[in-house]
Amino acid sequence: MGLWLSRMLSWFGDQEARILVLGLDNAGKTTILYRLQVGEIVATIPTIGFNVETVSYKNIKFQVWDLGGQTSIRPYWRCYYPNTQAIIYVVDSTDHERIGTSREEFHAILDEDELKDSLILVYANKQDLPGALSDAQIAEGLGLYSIKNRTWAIFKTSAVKGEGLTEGLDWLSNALKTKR
Amino acid sequence: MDSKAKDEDAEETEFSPFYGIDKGAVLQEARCFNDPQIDARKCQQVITKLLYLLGQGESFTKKEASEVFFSVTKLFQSKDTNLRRMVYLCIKDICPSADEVIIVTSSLMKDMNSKTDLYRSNSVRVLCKIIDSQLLMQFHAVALLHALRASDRLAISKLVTTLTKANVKSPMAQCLDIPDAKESGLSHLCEFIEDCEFTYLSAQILHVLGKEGPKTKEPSKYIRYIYNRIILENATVRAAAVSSLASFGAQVESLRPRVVTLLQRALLDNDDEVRDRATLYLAQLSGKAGGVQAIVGKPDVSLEVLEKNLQGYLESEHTEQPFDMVCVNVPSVRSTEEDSLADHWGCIPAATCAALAELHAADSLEQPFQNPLPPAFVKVQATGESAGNWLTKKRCCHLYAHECRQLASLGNVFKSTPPVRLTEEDTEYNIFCVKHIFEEHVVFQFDCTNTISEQEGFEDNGVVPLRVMPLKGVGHTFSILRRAPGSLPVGELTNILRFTVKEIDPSTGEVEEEGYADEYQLEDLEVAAADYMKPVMVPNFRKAWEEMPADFEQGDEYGLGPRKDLQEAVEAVMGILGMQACEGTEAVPPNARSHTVLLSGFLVGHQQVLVRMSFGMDASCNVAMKLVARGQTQGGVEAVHSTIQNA
Repeated sequence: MGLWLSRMLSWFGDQEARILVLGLDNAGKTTILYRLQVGEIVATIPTIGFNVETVSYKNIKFQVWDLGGQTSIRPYWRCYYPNTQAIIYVVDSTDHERIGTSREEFHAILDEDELKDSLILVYANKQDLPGALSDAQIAEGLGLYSIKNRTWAIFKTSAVKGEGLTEGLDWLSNALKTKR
Repeated sequence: MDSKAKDEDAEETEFSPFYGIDKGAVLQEARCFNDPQIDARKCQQVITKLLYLLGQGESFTKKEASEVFFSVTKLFQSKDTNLRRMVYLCIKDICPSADEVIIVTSSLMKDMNSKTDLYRSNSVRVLCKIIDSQLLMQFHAVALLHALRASDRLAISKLVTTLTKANVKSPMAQCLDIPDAKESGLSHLCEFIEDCEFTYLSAQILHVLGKEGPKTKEPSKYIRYIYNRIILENATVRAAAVSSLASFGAQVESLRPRVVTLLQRALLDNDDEVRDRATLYLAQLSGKAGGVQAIVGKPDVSLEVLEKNLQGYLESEHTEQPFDMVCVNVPSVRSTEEDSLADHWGCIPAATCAALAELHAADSLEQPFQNPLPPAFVKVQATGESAGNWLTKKRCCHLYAHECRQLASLGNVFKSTPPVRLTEEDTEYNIFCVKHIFEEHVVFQFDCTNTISEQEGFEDNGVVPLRVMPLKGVGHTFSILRRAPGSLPVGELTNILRFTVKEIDPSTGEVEEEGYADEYQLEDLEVAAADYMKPVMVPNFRKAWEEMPADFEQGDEYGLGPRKDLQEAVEAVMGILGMQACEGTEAVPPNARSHTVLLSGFLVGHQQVLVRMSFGMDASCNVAMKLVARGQTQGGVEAVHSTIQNA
């Protein structure tokens, strides 16, 4: 009875999704989270641990987990993998030097068994800054084109200017509805 | 059973809904923390069970603790304030490893700045608990600065601003930004116990209130909350509330008359413990039974004793061995000042003890009433009265044991047992025996009174015979047995007092040359395994257990047969081991079907041993016990198990 009732509610009411925001440190994950949640720029400090907030967008309640990107915290990402519908992978497009590291972390995530059904949304962030790589260059750098059997998309974003973020979420909500 | 007693029985059972819950099952339940949809109520219940298990002394493996910890962090997504409170309690108690705990840092810092009071106070408390030592150093520096400028609010606010600008890594510095964090924390605790259903938590909180409340700016505001517990709660909480209240009375003189009035009402309580505590505290608040000092309690190590011990150590011939802090540890049970002093004495190496005893004995003759020693001690010194407080006697035994050079070569006394009477009372010879456990020897000291005798005892390593025993005085004779290295022999010894009776010429007072040999059969004397064990309290058992390498861990299960209740079984096993129960675990809650007891002690040779015993009782009252021991050496751990096996 309880199970049936909760299914009915989610049918008519808001859909819910659990999202992880991952990426190297200083990619802009926390800024993106709060830009999406409160719609403005919040001063951030490096995340030691995680932030978790609920973001409602187009009848979908996203429960967004922004996990710290520092090397010391990355080993604990996996503790938060179960029951994840989508990954938002954020890349600092101006960080040419670490695109290789970012690629390694990204592929490690793709290889995780617990994440094999989750959708992949990549944000090529910091497009407002000079010297930012294009979305195609980031896609190349991350090796996106070699991915098989996964639903993915990449968007150019600027969290500071608020550009590209909602487009990404639009794609995500459609992909989630299709999947269901 | 009358109806009132029945009610009480029912009441007791109702308060402990978790008796006998199983760790494995609870860990299984804890998986609900990972559910995409969080059931706040259910999660709170599971956390309560986890806390209960921790409170019972149950330990989690590193892996289990880590798993629970990460699952619990997922509950930060819930907006339920009560659940968040439990999350904080759980994180604080489960003590995740230092590298893992950073994962909650951002969440704690966010809550520290939250509009919700409860989040702010709780997050600060958790931070204090889990913060690592490096940050702690930073905190001490900041705390010192804070103390120096405490009177100047402006200076403090400047200090905080500077610190924040300088980007101090420690969020602790920011805690100082909330000057009233502690007081608001205490206020929240007050409100929490208003509707707290858990006896254990309430009692702990009452203890904290009693400890911290009197130091706040406005101690009087806590009194009402605490007194409410005396009116409304079950016996355990009422007793805790009485203690808490007494602490206010002891520390805040202006509140004392009011506290006394409130405590007087508890004299009519229907529970023994509550009445007893109230009676004792009332006496102490009026200056009797040790006075208010006894309520407040003293530091674990008396600096005075430590100083004297160190002096004695430096003057002794055994400086090649490191100074042993165990010598100045205060045993857990302290009642009055006298007892406390006496207990210190019991732990002091014999040489120091002798020196101290002489010192005080000399003092006592001049100023008998100002002397800090128990009056019984003075009596023994002056008149040689043999009977009396065993604690006091024990002191004297040390004294005499060390007077003999033969005994001095054996090193320091590890432990001395209370004297055992080997004769019936009111016989011509009064013989007591004290067992002194040394590193490699056992020395039997026979205290003989009321005749002139000469004695021989056990052979082997030597006897220190008693040449002459004056009438009504106490003479001492020693028998030294050497143990095989590392062995802890036990058994019964048969004692025969052999002596020569010589006549004294009543007119001249001269002793005649010839005498006749006589024998006097004494009671058998038992050397038990517990004699080799010294009960020593560890302040934080769980920490001590974690820090003790598991290399020599050994666990085994034992059947103890049918017992009246678990308390009886616990007491029996504790009596055999002679170790110190920690964290009050020696008391089994009424009607419990399972219970865990934590023990600690030092085996001769100063090897620390820790023991965790879980008892369970089946429907036909058969008691089974699982005993896990950890120690610094394989031998220590094995000794515990063989003690139980041979009992």
